[in-house]
Amino acid sequence: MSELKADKLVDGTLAWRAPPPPLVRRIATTISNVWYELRKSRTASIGAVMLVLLFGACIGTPWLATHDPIKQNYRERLQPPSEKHLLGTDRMGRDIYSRLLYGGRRLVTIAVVAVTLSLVVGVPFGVLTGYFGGLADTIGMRIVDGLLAFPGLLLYLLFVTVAQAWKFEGVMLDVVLVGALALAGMPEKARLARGSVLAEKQKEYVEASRAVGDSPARIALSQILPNILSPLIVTATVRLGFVILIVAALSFLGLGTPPPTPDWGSDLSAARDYMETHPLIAAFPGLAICYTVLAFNLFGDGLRDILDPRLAER
Amino acid sequence: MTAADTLLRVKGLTKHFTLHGDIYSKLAGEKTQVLKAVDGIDFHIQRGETLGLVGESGCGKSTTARLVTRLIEPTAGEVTLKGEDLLAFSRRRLKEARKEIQIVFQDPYSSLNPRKTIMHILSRPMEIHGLAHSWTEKREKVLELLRRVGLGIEHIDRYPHEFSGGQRQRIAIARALSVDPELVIGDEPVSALDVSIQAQILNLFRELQKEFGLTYLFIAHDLSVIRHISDRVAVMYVGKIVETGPAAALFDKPLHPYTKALLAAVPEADPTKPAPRLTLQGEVSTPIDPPPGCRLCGRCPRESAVCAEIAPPLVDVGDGRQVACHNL
Amino acid sequence: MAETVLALDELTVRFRLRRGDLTAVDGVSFSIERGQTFGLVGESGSGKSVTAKAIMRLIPDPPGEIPHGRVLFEGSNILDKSDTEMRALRGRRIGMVFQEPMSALNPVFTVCDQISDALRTNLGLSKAEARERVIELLSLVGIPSPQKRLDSYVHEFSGGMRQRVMLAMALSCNPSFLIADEPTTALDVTIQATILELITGMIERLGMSLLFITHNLGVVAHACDRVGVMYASHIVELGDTREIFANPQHPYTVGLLNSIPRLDGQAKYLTPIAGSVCNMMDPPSGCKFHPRCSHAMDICRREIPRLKEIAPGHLAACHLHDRGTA
Repeated sequence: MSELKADKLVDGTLAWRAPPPPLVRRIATTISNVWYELRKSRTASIGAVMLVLLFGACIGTPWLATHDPIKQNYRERLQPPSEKHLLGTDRMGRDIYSRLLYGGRRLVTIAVVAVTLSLVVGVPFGVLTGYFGGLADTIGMRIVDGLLAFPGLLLYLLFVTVAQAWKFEGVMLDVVLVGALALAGMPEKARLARGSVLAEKQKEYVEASRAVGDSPARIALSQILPNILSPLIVTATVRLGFVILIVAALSFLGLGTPPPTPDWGSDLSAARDYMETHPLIAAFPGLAICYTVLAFNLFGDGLRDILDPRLAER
Repeated sequence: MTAADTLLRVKGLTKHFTLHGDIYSKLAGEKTQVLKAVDGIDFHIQRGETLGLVGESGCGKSTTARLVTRLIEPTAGEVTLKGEDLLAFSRRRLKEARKEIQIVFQDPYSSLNPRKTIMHILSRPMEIHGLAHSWTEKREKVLELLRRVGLGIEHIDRYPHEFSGGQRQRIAIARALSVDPELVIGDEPVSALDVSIQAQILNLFRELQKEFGLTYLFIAHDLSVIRHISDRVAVMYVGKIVETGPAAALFDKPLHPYTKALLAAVPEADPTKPAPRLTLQGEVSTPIDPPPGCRLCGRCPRESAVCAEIAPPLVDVGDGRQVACHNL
Repeated sequence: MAETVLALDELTVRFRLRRGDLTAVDGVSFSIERGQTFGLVGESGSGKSVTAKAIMRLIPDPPGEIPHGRVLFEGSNILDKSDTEMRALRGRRIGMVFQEPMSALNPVFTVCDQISDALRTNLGLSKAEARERVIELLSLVGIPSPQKRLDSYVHEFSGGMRQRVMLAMALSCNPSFLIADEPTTALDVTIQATILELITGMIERLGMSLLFITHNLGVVAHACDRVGVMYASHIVELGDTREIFANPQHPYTVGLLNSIPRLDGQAKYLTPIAGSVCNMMDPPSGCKFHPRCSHAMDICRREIPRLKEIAPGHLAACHLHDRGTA
């Protein structure tokens, strides 16, 4: 060992012994690396910019909003966009701009939490059943098949109807919705994860890990999982756009949180009566939904190109 | 040569894979086929020596490597490591034994986890076996390993994709050495490498053997590589060992018709040597439901009636050599 | 002097990649005479397969391009030919055998369909005539009972048999020139021996010329009349096989020969070439081999050595030989 130390001093490479850099710096490097990668795909960078704006608006809602989204003002009903009301007012004189911000915040939160939850449950489920195989795999995949056989929309309707019957309100209703969405999204992630694991566990590094005596669970989750994340991240991102569409559709059909809670779907639904006279009232929530879904889809597609370079070459 | 010098002894090691036909063939009452990948092989490795295991693709040499490391479970047979029955080990004892037998794989591109740094790849085995505790200690040991296999210490925080094939194989060797093993199994460790790099890695194997007193089970299909690295050689053909003996004697005067054929088929890098030719008939026999006799039956120039009936056992012919052939 | 079938004149192939230009083949010249087998040896990434593809005009453009150089096949420059002329040349006049028969042969067609397809379009044979010819070809390449194997699919053949099918396909239209790109690399040594015997025997019998590309020096030693050694896009040494093996002049060739373990006698340590192959995206200045060369001099870092004749028919591109001839 003494010989080695001498080597290092001669090269002046003591840095190779230094402890890992602090968390803040590691995060900063990661962000700059991520941006560097994103620039490879125009689609992804456009999507990323759109998403940053979207999340910025969601986080900054309390500061960006100009009015209380629920407060009605009958003297200022159905106004066109003006300096006071940036996007005008609806039939109850509520500020559309502020309602969009609060509604978006709620919608995006529901979608992100639901998809994250489906990943957190589905991926380890798929990874472990796939890695261990045998009986665990058979039972696990039959459960997943059972869930897949249930049409998603039916599941949401069931959950929401039951929740409404039990007089769930406000946040509780949202929680039920998130649960339904997560449950419906779980099988897809589990299947995808399992498929990737089956391919990945043939690789020699997995055998090498077994040969040094690593535990099976640790090999599955710490060695294999990082290698199969790419397709999962892509699916999850595209799925986010889809989930937002579903949530908006449900409240459009009156199965979401009841008014006066700001909600793109129910606002759009309410604006239908004024389509001919005041089309802008319907246009804004519609555009907001479009923008959000487009942002997630663009980002997801671009991400796929970056993470799977073979596809991008075509 | 005492028994204490024997590091690994394998007796009647067998691995059969049952090939499941589809449901229709089962309904039709067809018998399931058995692929006899390894079919009752015996060999032993003395401490500090290199046993070369050579054979063509599909002969079962890689399966043997995985059986000996218990990456797959044998159908039958015995594997004893330093006199202890490896197959009877409890899970905990097996984990300890893993420290003593390490393996270097063929493909340096798939044998290193692309998402882990070299530091992680080399320090993880130490962590598992409690060979290093603090971060600094692991770091020191990893740097030492890198130096030993001829890599720069600046490589420690890089990822496998930043290295060439030869460098990756050095990392794979360093990983095998990280737990201070006694037996290192090389499963075709140089066959994916270019000639000039292959020579570097072969030399590295030799240097490390001298330095750490390692014992090797070296598997390859390239006869000149086997000749170069091995003290003793075992030749495999379709799941069976057909000839073993000291490398020099076996290569200079092969006894089994298959060994002879292998040697005659090697194109040597010297135009003045005789051109490679095949002294057997037909193609490699199948390991799926093989007939009872000698596996070389039907291809062999020295065949007699008994060959189709009885599989020849491996018998001593003196000078530490064993051959499995009825018609010597 | 015998008739020259193929001559490469300063052939250069470049790939324009997003990260920059990569010169895969740089000023490669050699010629092959009728009835001769020319071996192109080199390690992976040396440009030997790209050279073969360039001869067949199979370099995808973009990103590949051939900025200069000529490929003279029977006197005319292949690079000037139209795509239609080229299609007539491929298969019909120049046959090609690849390393991986599984990916070169189409898995959804039977062997007969694949081979007779070329026969019918190129030679205008009827279906029945083509079938007869396929049987003839399959027996020529040593496939037992060809009538029975005719309607099999590629996956039903073993590795060695697949390579025979490939060879039959390459020979189907009686080409005068054959390119074999690592035809035995994926095969076991005993099968390799039979395929080698088959190819060399076929060349002799049919009076064809062969460009044999391989990384295996042993194969070259026995299959080829002349050899070109490639390193990092250049031919570094060129000459008769016996001469090159007996009297290698370029340090890379010497290094390669010293890197091979021998079947006879046992050198405990090999003398490998130090370091690893240079990054072709950012090649070293001057001689591409100088960072790994034990004889490297100042001039090697500055100037790319040109191929010079150091003995009749024996060329090497190394500055070490400048002093000798000066």
